[in-house]
Amino acid sequence: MKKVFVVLVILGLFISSLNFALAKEVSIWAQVYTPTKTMQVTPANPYPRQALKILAERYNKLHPDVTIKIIEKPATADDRQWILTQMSGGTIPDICWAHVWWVNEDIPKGWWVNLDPFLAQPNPYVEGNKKWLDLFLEGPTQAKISPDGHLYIIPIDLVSTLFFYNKDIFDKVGVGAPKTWAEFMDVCAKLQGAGYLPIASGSFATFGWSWQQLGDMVMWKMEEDIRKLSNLPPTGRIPQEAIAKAVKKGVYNCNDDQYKEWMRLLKDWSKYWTKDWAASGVDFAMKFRKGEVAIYEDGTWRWGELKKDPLVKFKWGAFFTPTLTKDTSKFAATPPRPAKAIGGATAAQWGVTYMAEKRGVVNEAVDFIRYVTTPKNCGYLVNELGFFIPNVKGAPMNPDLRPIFNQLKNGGEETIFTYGDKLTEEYGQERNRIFQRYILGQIDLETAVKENQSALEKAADTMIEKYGWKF
Amino acid sequence: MERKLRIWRYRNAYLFVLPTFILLCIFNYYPAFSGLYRSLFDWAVGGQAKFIGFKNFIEILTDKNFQISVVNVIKLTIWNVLVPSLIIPILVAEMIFNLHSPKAKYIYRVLVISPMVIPSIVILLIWQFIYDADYGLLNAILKNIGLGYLARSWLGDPNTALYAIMAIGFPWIGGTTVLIYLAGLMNIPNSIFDAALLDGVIGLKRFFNIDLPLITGQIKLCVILSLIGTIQGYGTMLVLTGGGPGVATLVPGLYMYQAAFNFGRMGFASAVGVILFLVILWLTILNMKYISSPAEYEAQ
Repeated sequence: MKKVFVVLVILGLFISSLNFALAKEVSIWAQVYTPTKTMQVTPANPYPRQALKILAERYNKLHPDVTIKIIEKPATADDRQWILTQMSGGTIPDICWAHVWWVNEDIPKGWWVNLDPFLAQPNPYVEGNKKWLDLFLEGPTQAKISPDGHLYIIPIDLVSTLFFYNKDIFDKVGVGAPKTWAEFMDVCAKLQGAGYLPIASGSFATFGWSWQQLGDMVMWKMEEDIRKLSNLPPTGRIPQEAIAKAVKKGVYNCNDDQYKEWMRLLKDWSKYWTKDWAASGVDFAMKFRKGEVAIYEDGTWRWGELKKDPLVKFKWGAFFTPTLTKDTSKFAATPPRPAKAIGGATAAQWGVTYMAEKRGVVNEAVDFIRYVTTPKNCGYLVNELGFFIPNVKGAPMNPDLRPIFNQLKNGGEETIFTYGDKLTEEYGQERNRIFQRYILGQIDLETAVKENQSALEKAADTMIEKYGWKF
Repeated sequence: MERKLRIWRYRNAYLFVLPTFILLCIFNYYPAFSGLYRSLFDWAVGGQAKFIGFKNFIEILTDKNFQISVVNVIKLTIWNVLVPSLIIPILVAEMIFNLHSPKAKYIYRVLVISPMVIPSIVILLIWQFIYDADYGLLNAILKNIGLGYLARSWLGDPNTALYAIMAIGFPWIGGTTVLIYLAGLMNIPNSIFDAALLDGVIGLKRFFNIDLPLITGQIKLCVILSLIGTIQGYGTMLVLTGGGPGVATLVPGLYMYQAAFNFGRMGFASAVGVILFLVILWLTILNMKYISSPAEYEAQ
């Protein structure tokens, strides 16, 4: 009897060790979706979350041979620097969050797995699905296509920029949320006249989300010409190759009157911005939360914070960038063309890294992402935080954010050719610096246009050389 | 042979030094020499390095933004060397040194060094609040004393941003620098002061003819440290202005950081690093060569 027992124990140990040896581990770093240590709300832990952990456990029950290991990044480490060092050191998780422009930089290094073949296959967790790609919204997903035409990133959630406004101040001044650019300028003037700081934005110092939207509304004709030049459909994504081609052929040109009008409109609008709009470190959100600024440009991610914040003692609302009409500029389209949404996937945009390939777990990593991107699971993951929108069709969503979802559905930054980092991130920064110097009166319009054209051409040449495009 | 025997005799001492030397080579010398080599390549972390000769250097030196950043760093260096590294700390050290009560001397030494425990990022954030265009302390003071017309966005105005950066740390009494000068003054033999007193060399005369020449070694050290810190530094700009507005506060250190970590151009950033290294080396040699005094050597 004793012998039988010993044999059974040894056999058991052998089988369990065999199982252990066969079990595969898929690691993931999910940025803001990384589960928190506790579910207790504290100032240091304002948004407790555990959805990813629960999904990983459920997945493990379905696939006992696969364990999902959630990696925590040191809080003080910069995201990009952390990714660069982990990639170089061969310790990057199998699934990793990343901005697409970082991925674009890394393509020649072979750090990210091309997900096109997987996206062309069905998602087995969604009944009747023939192509995984079909589950996602077209526009925000197209925005993630890299210059070589492939998708390396799965966009899982969505955000969008908008203008938050202090309803109490608006009521006191007797104005409402503007619909057109002319109304917007009028509202800003009235707010300023009543002694309020009309508008603040953290993006003005670094990027200018609404700047891009305004540019798109002014330069609709140039966009048409760019599309014609590369035989692109009238709507949808404008690839970087088409933009580089337009620069080289002189179709996308900063000396064009449309471009100059864009810059003039920005300068005209700047008289309503907070004085320190060009200082990058200012906490403009705090100014809005304390009721010091009437309008604040930010994104849906601020929604939850504004709802919960005890500092916010006023009623607030949000409006989209108003539409440019002929009342403001002769270059406005007829009929007026509404502003396109800025945003897309940010907090959940996951790629599969070369380490998954090296460790032989690409299929498992992709399968876990497929599991997460079913409408039900995606809704569960994304809605836990309350301020992101699922990028999967049919997923439940926070009803507050439904109008933003509709806006994003109609096309966003992927269709805006002036979008700052469309060609290179370096150009995005350089253009912003030139715009700042022009708006602040350091250089005149002609100098700004000249410098900008030179930077634009340099960026186009860099991309052409990098990807070997021939026109 | 004798030398070999001597090394063998002191082998334990050499063994103790070895780990430090190896770590120094790995973490200090290797990256520096690697940077020199990489500056000749078009290289991003993890990517294929392509030899391009001096192209990076040509691009840097012909880039308008880099030229502006050099002008900015020259202004910052002149300020940082003169005011927070020389004039103010020497004056404070002199004042403490000339106190009669040893207890008072001790208290002031502690008071000068205490602010060093505050993390620099906290100080920067406090200054950010002070400079706030709409609700900042500085503008509030100006408005309350009838100088409201001077109120502005100190960090958001290209005409004032760099000067606002310089003013951070007011009244610029750096704890370590003051202590270095104080130690220098305390090191001067009392017999020199006694002789000076007998000759009637007191007050400013003593300061310029005895104190200053005899702390030249400390001055050299502080000037070199300040040069290196300012020319390489970019933390303040990274936190407060990002180099803006426009390029008003861009400095070569930040230019290098952005090239490396924002745009992934490591070879290019290495070339900026090499230029900074050469400039610092040149200035250090100049400093060593020209800031000297015979009195310094006599005192030693």
